[in-house]
Amino acid sequence: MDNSLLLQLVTGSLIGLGAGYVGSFMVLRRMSLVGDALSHVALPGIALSLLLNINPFFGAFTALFVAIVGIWFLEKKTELPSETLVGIFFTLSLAIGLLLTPEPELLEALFGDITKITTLDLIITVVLVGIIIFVIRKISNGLMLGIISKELAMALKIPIHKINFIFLLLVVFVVALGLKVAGTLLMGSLVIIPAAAAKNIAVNLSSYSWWSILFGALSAIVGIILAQYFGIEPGPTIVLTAGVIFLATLFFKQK
Amino acid sequence: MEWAKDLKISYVPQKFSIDRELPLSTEEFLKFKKKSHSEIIDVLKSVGIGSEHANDSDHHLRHIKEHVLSQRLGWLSGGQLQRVLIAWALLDDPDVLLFDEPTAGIDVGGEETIYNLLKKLHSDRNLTILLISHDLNIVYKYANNVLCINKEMVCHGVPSEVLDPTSLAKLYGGEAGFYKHDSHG
Repeated sequence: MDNSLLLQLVTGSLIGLGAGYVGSFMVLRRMSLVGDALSHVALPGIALSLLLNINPFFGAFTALFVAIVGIWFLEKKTELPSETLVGIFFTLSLAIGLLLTPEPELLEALFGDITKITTLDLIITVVLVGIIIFVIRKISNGLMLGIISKELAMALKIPIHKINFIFLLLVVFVVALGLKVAGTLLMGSLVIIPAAAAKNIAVNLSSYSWWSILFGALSAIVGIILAQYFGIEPGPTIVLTAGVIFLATLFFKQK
Repeated sequence: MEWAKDLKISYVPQKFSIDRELPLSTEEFLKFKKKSHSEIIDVLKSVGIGSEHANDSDHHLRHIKEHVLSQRLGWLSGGQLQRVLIAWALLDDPDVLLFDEPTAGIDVGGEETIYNLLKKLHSDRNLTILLISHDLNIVYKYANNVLCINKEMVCHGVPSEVLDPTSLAKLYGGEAGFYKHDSHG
């Protein structure tokens, strides 16, 4: 196995497991499409990084961060519903991003290309996925109680608003990471599909999280190997692998 | 009136609907309170879960584990869920239990047994129970004191004494009976 494939597999599976973990709570909070919409916001950031010749992760992260703070701010000032704001931000960013991104890199920005990752990407991934796992373990009880009943969570004095904001930051982390793997158009699927598959077969929260993590990592590994074997783009094969896993879990659905 | 010092009040919410698909077991839900397994089993027994097996303690324990603790919270029946929510509140070992319409969405048979349970908890654990209810039968049957409110305080005292026709009319909007039509020549 050459170094580049090993690098892809390690980074890809780490991003897959991070996306599976964050995604498991996004699906329960009915935020599935937020990941999808947010990922589009990253495009102008990626474009600027390419123009300035820096690692696209930093541009994507900055754009995403500006977007969530902007949405949060506008939501307070204008009382427009957040789905409207997300919709506006997302299309505007996509338009700006399409204009700014140099044509040779456009395909990579839209669909991701994990074959182009560097050791720096691996380091960023290890650090961020570590933070994601650590923080979610800290806030998962509060997140889950907020999902079941806001009243109950408030009765236990759980700081729901703070937890929501922290969670949104984790979503930004994972989306920014996943862009490398699946690009702005397919990133949403990395957080949704493994979690949706895990939800089919899990009865309790801990097995749900574990299955979601496992499916996320497995999709990345199998997808990367298939892409290498057939000499095709890894982004779509990873997403399709996740899709096949989802279909398989339908046969074991808990009712 | 004032609360005693260091009083612990636990709140039991109105029965809420839980998505059947939500991957959370009853045990995980109760463990959010950071209590041990045996404390959880004890409190579930005290709210009458699986009480039909109470004469055989092994069977009772197995019933609680298999049919309640390891199930998804969203799979419990309305009555079971209500008991689990009461257990949730009892885990804090409160002095006062505050209920908001505890039997909303439960059939009448289940309703009866929930109130019997509350009565039992009241006497066994020396619990004060504060209950919000629209159901006058329940108020008459179980309450020592009633405070009736319709925007303002209407009456306060022992139910059989204070719930007279005048206060009932005020409570349930009886003044509608006095409405006179304008006469148009």
